[in-house]
Amino acid sequence: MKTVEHLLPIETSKKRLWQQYLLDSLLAFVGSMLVTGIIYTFQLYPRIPNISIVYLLVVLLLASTRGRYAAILASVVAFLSFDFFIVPPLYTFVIYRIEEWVALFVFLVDAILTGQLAVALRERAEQASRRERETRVLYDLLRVTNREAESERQLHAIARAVVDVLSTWGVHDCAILQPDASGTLQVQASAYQPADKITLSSDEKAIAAWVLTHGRTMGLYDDTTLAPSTSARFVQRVIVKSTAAGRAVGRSLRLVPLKLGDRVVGVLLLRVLDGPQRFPSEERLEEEQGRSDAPTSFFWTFLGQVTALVERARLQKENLRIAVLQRTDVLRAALLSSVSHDLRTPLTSIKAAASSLLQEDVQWDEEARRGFALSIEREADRLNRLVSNLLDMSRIEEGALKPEKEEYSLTALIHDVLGRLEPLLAGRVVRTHLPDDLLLVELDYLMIDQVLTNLLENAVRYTPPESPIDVSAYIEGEQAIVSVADRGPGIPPDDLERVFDKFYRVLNGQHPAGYPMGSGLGLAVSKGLVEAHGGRIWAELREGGGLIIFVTLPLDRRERSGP
Amino acid sequence: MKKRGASILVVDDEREIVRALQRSLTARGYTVFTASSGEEAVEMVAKMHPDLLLLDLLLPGMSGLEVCRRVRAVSNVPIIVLSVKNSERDKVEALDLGADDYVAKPFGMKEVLARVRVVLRRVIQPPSGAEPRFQAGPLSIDFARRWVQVDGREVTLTPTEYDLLKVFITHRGKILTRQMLLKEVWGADAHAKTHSLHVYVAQLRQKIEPVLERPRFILTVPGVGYRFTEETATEESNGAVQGF
Repeated sequence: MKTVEHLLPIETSKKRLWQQYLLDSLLAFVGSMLVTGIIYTFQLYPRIPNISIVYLLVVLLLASTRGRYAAILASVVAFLSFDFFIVPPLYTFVIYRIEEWVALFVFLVDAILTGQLAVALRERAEQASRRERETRVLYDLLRVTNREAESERQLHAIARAVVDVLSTWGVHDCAILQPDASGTLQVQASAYQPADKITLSSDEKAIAAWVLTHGRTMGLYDDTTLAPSTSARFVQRVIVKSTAAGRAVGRSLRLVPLKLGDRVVGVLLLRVLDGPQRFPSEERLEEEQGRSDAPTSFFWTFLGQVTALVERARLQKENLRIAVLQRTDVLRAALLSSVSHDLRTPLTSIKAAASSLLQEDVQWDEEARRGFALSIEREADRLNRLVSNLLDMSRIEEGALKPEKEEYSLTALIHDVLGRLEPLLAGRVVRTHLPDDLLLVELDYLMIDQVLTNLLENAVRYTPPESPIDVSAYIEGEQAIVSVADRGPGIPPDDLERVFDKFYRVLNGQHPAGYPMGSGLGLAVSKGLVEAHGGRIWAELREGGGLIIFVTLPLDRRERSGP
Repeated sequence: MKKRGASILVVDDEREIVRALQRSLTARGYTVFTASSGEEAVEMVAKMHPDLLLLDLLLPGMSGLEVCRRVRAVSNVPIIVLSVKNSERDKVEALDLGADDYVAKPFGMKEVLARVRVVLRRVIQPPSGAEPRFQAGPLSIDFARRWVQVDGREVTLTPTEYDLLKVFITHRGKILTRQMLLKEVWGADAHAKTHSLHVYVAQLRQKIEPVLERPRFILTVPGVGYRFTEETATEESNGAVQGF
């Protein structure tokens, strides 16, 4: 969908290897000796008195490509070889003539100075390009973060950026930890996995907590041999069981505090591969923290930016949470008043019917008495359904809803529900369009029963009494589809999705004339129950008028051992 | 026969519910005792030897389940459990503990009376399971020949379907939890067959129910199991599955 943008990696501190020194030495030596050889072979000295200037070419070349060491070495080799092979007396370092002495020393100083200047120039250019690169990294970090609107995604982008930038230090994964309301560190985001998939081991948690309180960097190594011998501050990890074969490779963990001033706002957890070689030790990092010229200084600049962004994301989330809380309060109050209304309507009917029966001055005939009793029973059933929905809603909200699925015949279930709702459906034309076979589906009987009951109850409540209701069920591909269709007034097309919102009816305020008022919890509960099954529920306007609600339930096509 | 004055102990802490039950049951000629706690109920079972227990599961102090367990330890008195929805587990546990039936709260009085009638009849005339024939409405079965007929037409059942039907008829009127059915039909290797149970029941229904849209013999008890009833639909079906 969106291309993942990678940030430039941080430059590794140039620790020169002995191979480089060897190459430098070789080049310096060969270069200078070549010039000496040419001068010697063609007897150019003293025919051309300042032929030694040719050496400067070699020195300049080495200074600008290989650096200070090669340049100085070349100067010295040139000085010595010129003296030894060319300045008489030959094959000895002895010089008799004073002007030759002077010339030779001037040459040496010249060569070294030229070399220095060239190196300085080169370093400045390099520094400029590094600065530019670092600025770009910081800018990119800001840009990829700002591109995301949600704080979770921002943190994720930051974590990815950290991995990109520190990849040259061996960092291959990064998690951002922030303390929650109770002060316990929680993984807020990670570079490659969703934050909730990550569980930290207890030692990781403990060390992260230490880092949070002390505000100092800490390392955690799988193996002491890998820990830098210079670093005293690390924890060796006790491995109870080796989980993966790759474990043995030099893995380590760095926990870096995210500090804003003296306040630690979070902890950056870096997973490093062969870390000790490339990732600077904890002491070195802290030692160089204040210095702007140190190789790790950019790390601190970068970290400062990361910290600021992480904190910004947190504040943003906090603001959002407060806004949601305020909104939830409003909604809760609205829901409560709506539910009270829902409860009171059937109660009113019951009270009215019961008190009518109790009237002593009226002699009700048998039919009237039966009518009152039926109405009491019907309204009591309605109350009962409402309470069921409220209970389900609270279970959905808690996330405590776990369907106990068993294979049932969907056709039989629909028949059962229609049979049970007979009093409610009395007088309505209900047409069923069901296949002849059993339509076996894995489902939680009580939950899907509740869903169908809600859909049918809605159809009855919000459509004219004489309009028909159609119930169908069929299989399509990998899912079973149940639909309940009515010929009522339908709903505005814009609201087709929102009717499943818990507060749809509550917030809609005005109820169109002829619509009974209600909390409309039924559809929201149905949605929760269907989704707990891995299914989908949606509404469509029906051709020729009316509303049709579809429910899909996934079919389990796994082969099961025969009965 | 049902008016011979069987004694019923009603155990519930809600006075209104007790009063309503007491009034209806007394009107049908039953003798009614009441208890409002588990401890009291256990005591009264020992003292009064009622013919039937109507037991609420949600009691202060000793739970209904515990009452069930204690009563079963000393007596075979039939127990009908009263419970609310959303406590399916308790309901099923009570039945597996030896309760004979359950009625979901809020219940219709018709339903309670029907359950009481069926349970008491089973006590007086327990189905032996050894009758040679069974007849209810359009359904007739000749056990000796393993013949099943609906409206005079012979119906072919698979061995499992036949066994299932036989279990249903042997325990007719009684609520059968999934566990009970599995154990009765498949015996020891009943484990993990719950899935196929509902499939077999659905297939059996297709073969023996005269009107599939309104099952009159095999009724679903949502979340608990099934019940085979020989009474006619008008008398029972509404009440039997109603009320939750």
